[in-house]
Amino acid sequence: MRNDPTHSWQGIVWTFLVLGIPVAVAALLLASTGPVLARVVTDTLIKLTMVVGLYIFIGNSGIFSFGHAAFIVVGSYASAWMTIPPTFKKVILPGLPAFMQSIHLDPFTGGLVGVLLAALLAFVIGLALMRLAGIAASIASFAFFSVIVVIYNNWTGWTKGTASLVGLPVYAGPKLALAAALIAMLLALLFQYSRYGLLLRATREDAAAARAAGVEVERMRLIAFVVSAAVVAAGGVLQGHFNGALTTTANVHLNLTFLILAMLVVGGMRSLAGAVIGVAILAFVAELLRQLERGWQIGDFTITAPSGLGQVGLGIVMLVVLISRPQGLTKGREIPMPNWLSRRERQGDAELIGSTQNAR
Amino acid sequence: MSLLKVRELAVQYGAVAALQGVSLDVSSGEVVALIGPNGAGKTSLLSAVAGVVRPRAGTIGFDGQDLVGMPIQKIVRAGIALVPENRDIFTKLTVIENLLIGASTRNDWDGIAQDIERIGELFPALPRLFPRPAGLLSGGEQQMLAIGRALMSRPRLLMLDEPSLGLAPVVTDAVFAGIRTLRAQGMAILLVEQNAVRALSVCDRAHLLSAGIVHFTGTPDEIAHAGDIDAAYFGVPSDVAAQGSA
Repeated sequence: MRNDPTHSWQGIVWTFLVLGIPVAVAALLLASTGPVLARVVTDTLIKLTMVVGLYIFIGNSGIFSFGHAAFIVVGSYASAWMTIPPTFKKVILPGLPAFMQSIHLDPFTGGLVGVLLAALLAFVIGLALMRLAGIAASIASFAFFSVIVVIYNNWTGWTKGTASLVGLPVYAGPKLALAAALIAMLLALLFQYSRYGLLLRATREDAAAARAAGVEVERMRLIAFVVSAAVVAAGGVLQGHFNGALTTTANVHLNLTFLILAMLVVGGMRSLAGAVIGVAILAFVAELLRQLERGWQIGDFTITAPSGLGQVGLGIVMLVVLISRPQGLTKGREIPMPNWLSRRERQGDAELIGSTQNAR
Repeated sequence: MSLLKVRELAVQYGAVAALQGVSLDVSSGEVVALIGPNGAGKTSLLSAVAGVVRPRAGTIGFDGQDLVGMPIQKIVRAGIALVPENRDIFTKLTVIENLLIGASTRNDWDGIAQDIERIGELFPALPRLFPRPAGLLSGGEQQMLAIGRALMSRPRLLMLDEPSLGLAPVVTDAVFAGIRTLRAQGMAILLVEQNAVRALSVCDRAHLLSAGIVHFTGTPDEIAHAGDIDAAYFGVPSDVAAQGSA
């Protein structure tokens, strides 16, 4: 796109700042007002991390994945095994083998183990999954998610099965979640700007033509899938250490999957701006509806919306956006750079070539 | 020594035989044209060489390697680039991005930048369009971009499928001027073209293809005087055609 700034490194910096600064300011301001909003902010930032992670794969490859929640499950449980103190672990998870019982890592290393395990799983599964495209890939990704959930549901010794796993150290707050979201956004932009991003978008436009131009389609998809899984898993790890509890219940993960997909679709799944704006809007609407469900005091009256309004409301927002702007609110565009910033860049073709050269 | 060596190539789509035992050679630095009517099998031949369709029988040798059954990306890496009839431009990506996608097999960034400049010299209409989405380009500009993108893989054999298709004569001139420049630079080209006059004006040798069989092979002069063209195009013996026109 002519006004897409993400073709130059100046544009990358611009896009990062124009999205990152409002996110950071809004998050820090809202979080400072009190513990209730701080929780909402943390939760939203964790979702933002997940949505940006999803965007890295879906936005660039054009393939819808319903399976990314599997990486949330895998990453968060692995982090839990690594970070729950051994004295706790003996009580909570007596079924864990002895060597796992004694492991106790600091939160960062433990989280990293979770992220790396998810990335490894994405690599192995991706080898097969990335050969598919379109709806077949989406269905296969969903099947993969189901398999993981069934395994974790029945792997009682390690996961407590259908019971919740509690006792995770709770360390995730608004600042850590903000840092994670900003790092995820930067990663997404760098990927978008890189050659892999460009070649992957070529396969999104026309896989056959990309192949004919020598692009290794499966390899490009796989790289994005692994990076995307790692970022989503990082969000999952944070969520585990934010709630302090984990569950293998499929419904919980399905709701989360559809919420983060809805955020991406509402904002526009082909731009980072879309991912960020989608999260902001749906998080706001969801919070508003939750307040209504709890009751709204006007004078002497309390208006209480029927419970479940939240889900219905999200559905309505998504429907309205899909009908009126099927490409999402941003129509898949980034926020254009103002002319006074980008003028230097348009000086000539020589510099354009120079800037694309940086995409190595 | 010939760069591309096709022997007894047969391509079949279901019950339809598109090619029935075609043999041809392209030497390095040579421009070979394939001319013939619709459905002669010209595109099928290019598709088989590029690895898009799998031949039923026959061999395709390129610089000593056997290409039959090789995946498309490997064929591109071996040094063959195809500019398909529909051009296969990435319309939502910019012109410069399209060119960079063509260089996906390479990592020599200085060489890539040089090649982008060279393509700008080859088709002077392109450089000012670099930042534009390729879908906004005219048909001729898209054709130039498609050729440019194919060149970005530094092919040793360039295959062009109907580069004049749907283009105004003046635009076709610009495209063929580029092809002539490439020929002068020593690029081996296999050119498929319905417009026989245009094709014969740039090639060293031409094959006349009809109904999946090579009917005639020769230099442009030999073909022009053979009189077989009418027969191949209209499906009648040349003497009947001659009588008809008399």
